[in-house]
Amino acid sequence: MKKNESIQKHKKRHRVYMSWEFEAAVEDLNKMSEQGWHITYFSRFSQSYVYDPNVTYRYQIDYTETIADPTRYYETFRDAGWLTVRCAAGEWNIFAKPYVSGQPEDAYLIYTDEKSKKEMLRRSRRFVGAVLLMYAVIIPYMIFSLVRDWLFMHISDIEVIEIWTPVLLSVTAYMFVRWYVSVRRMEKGKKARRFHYYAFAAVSVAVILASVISILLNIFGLI
Amino acid sequence: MGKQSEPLTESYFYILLCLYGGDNHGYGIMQMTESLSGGRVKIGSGTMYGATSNMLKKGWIIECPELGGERRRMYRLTDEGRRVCLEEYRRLSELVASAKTVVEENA
Repeated sequence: MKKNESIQKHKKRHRVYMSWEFEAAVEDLNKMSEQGWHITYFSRFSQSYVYDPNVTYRYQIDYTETIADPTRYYETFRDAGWLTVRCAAGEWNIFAKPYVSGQPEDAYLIYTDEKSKKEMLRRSRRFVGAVLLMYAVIIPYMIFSLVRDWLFMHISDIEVIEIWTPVLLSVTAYMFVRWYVSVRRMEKGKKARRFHYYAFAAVSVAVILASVISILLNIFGLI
Repeated sequence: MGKQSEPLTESYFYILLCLYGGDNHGYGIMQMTESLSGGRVKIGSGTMYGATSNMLKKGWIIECPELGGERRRMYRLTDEGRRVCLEEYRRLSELVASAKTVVEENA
């Protein structure tokens, strides 16, 4: 073996994937693999790739809650030629299969009928439904108590925490709503829109900064 | 008998069909399905795991170890599974017979 053949090129990327963005992730992984970069480790915030221009992989992501029979589950995929990708992204299971040119793309699908695909999507939004229900109770109550205090107290008597908790909660609630809506779109066979995490992060940071400033102002007795 | 059940999906029907003649493992079922349907029906691993899990739960199939060879996990049709498969076969035959009558009448 020539010396330079034994040196492997590695690359790290930091893309953020929200838990419903498995379709977008599959697209990205396939695209990277076509350029010779194959995923070796995946998390929702960072991904490691290794370079090998001689192969191409096709990827698939399965969303599972607790797998009832993990041995049987992984065996079913392995026997059909799927390799597992090291993955730290909760309920995501990433599989890779070497691409043979000329083979139809549907040979690289793990869900081959509408029924089972829908079952998978439904699994992925079951948790969100529960969270949204909780928010549906908490947020109106918080807004109600805020308005009530506003009406019957001096504005300076309202604890800062009373203002920013509902705001922060609303920001996270928005994320869950996006999750729910995206999965519903996918269930209807449409593509989910990409999540603009930069905008989301900017809004969250702005909210936190605003609350920190108001707390500081409060401490120094300026409000 | 006579329990009204909803039509099986193509994947479900093919899985039962592939086990009708004898035990088989998951990948074997996938390959057999593809060749039986002339490449039209493919069963992916996710679909396969979900379907076999459901069928195990419903008692249509059971797991059994392969004798000799690679000792892979095999699936075997139960009497109930055989009944479901035959019932679907009869339903499909009836559909085809009806279609044949109508189409030939209006040929």
